[in-house]
Amino acid sequence: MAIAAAGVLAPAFGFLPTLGGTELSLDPFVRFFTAPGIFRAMGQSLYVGLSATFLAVILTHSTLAAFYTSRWFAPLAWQSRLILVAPHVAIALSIAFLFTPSGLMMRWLSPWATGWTSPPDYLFPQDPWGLALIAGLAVKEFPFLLGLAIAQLGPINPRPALHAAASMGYGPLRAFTLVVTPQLATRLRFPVYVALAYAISSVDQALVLGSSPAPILSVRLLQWFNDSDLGARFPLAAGALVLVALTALGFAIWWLGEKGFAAFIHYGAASGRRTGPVDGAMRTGAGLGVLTLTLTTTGLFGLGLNAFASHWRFPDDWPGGFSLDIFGGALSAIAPAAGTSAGLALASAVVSTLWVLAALEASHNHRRLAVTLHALMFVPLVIPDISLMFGLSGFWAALRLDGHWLTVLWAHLLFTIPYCWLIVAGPFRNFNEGLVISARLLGAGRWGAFFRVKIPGLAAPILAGFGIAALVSASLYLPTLLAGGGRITTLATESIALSQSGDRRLLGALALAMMVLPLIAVEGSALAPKWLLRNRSGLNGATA
Amino acid sequence: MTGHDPDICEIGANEIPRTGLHACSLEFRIDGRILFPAVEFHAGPGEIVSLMGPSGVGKSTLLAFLSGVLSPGVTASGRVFLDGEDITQRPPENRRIGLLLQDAALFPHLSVEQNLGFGLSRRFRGEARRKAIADALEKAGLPGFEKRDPGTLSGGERARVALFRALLAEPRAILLDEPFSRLDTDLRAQIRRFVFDAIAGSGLPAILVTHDAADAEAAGGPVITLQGVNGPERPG
Repeated sequence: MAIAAAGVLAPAFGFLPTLGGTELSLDPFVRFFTAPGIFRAMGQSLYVGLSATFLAVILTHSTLAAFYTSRWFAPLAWQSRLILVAPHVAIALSIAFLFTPSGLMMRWLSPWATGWTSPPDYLFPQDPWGLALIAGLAVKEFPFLLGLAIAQLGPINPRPALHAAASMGYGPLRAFTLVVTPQLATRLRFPVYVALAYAISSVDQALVLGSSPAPILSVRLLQWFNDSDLGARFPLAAGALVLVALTALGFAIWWLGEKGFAAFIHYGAASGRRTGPVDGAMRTGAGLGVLTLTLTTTGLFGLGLNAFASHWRFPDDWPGGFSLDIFGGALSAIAPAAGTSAGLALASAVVSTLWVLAALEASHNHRRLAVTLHALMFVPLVIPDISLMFGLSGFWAALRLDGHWLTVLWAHLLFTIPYCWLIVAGPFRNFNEGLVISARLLGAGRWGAFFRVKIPGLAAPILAGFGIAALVSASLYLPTLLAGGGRITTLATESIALSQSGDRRLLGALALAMMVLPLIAVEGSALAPKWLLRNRSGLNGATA
Repeated sequence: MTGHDPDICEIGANEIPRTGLHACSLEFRIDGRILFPAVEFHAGPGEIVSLMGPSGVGKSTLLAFLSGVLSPGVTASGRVFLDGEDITQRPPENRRIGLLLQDAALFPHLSVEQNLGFGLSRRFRGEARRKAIADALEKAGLPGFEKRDPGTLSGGERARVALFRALLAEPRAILLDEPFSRLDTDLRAQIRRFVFDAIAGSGLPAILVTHDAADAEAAGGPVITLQGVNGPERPG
């Protein structure tokens, strides 16, 4: 972490001896701010990030409020899990596939509704208003927040409060909005900021869905990074810092909006009105939420279908024929990338899980160490990853470490460890200490109690943390690209590289592979404890 | 565990009873605040000493100290002797003290048999091991429960399994931390009698922490009431 900070700060203030920068100056900032269109890029980043997060938060709350007590809740939760495991890149590809002029939507609407027999001419994705990018980010963040919200509903225990509100004449939707949503919002605060930081600085989705003539700041930074003129490193370093500041500004704006919104909801609750304008808004949001989930799932399946389509003319609703050629051609083309992805995912998951368990056990009973570690875990989640990665890449390049598999693993661990920690730390800290004490008094030493009682008792959250780490690793684009120096190819980097190629079959195959790997990791880690502990009712329900 | 003063015990080394659990001058501080005035107690073989007091007074802290698992934030002074040996500094696994907790603390990932086997000495092997466990279950009134999942047991059954798990580890003393408080009233007296009889039968000294005066009365031994030293009550 310190290395990353030094790696950004030094060149930002003009200090980079290898490139002749030996004096401290503000010149990099001058060069950054005088770059053409830079203010537009900054504004675009902020606008896209805030809009996408706002959309995702509204969708999350309204979908939950409208469907929590309904029987449609389970299928919605399933769709949301499917999208959650799909890497950002796969989601971006599926949105592009759905809405592009020759995409699935136009095929299904043409020619009967539109009269078109050839694809219309409009620019989407990569529209100048950033709508495609906002949609892509919101679609990915919505299931993330929804999943966390569902997990938080357990501790909130909304049923009694909902019954109380219903007995006072509030309909289910309004009752949920006024009584449960505010509690949920408080608990979802941190994840929302993580989502916001991500949305402001996303790179992989922006490359597929964002406008290329007017890119957002993070993409501009990546262009400087790829600039053969190494002098571009100076404004890049300044820009990496500006992006951090921009994220902080985004947080501040969000925080203010949050205050206003909370006041509004509390006013609504205290006013005693049994209906209000919020209801309609929530209903619309919920409808939009269902539409989003359904469309995205459709897009993902459609994209997968492409891999097996022999030909699929516009405006046919379905492919004209299917073939399994893909296993001969495209699949062997992507097999090496798939292998690298799987290897990195497995290694990241193993190392992250072991590291997290060791750190948690070592910091157990050491309050200060525990607090420090906990705070440190959140840094990679709220700092824009291009800023973090740029800081490290200078260091790696100086030691000639870039391009090695282990360096890429290192970069992945920076992101997989925090997510693994988020899953495992809570259950670990809340573990029934009486079991550990009993084990020790029965003669097991400290390690005996740890391995024979604590680890098996935490099997479900530990495996879930393992699955999440694998999932995160498989979806990482920028860290793989920068640490790998372009020499390590994974499914994520390969899909971005080919996203503009127009080879739908290859992209379909890539998206499929990208879905299958995380699905195996996540479903496997969810099913394994259920199977291992199938006769142990005391643990079966305790999945995190 | 810090802040032990070896001279704080007023009785000389040769006056320490050779049998039973003896605690002298136990005093605990959290952030410099004393929890309760120093206590001293002795439980002879088969005798149950009851500790009572308002919640938050530090009963659990005292038990944690006797078990050797005091939280780092607590400073303790005083000494504990078991059958004449000073065990104050020993790690929990070498104390040979059994513990019965409110929720029975059965290991949820192990079967009843594996729970009982957890503490059973390695001296018992193969058939002898299986028989020791079967005998224990017989005495617990739970014959044939070997393969059962602890999650499916009733509160009374869990309490009895926990008792015999502790006894199979061949302890030299037993600590009971409100072990009956989660049981239904009618079951409670029955299980209590069962546990106390088993302790008396085994001739082990025992310390019982409880809220319920009926527990202390049924235990039949000395009752010590802890009174907090000023300050607000704290949980635990």
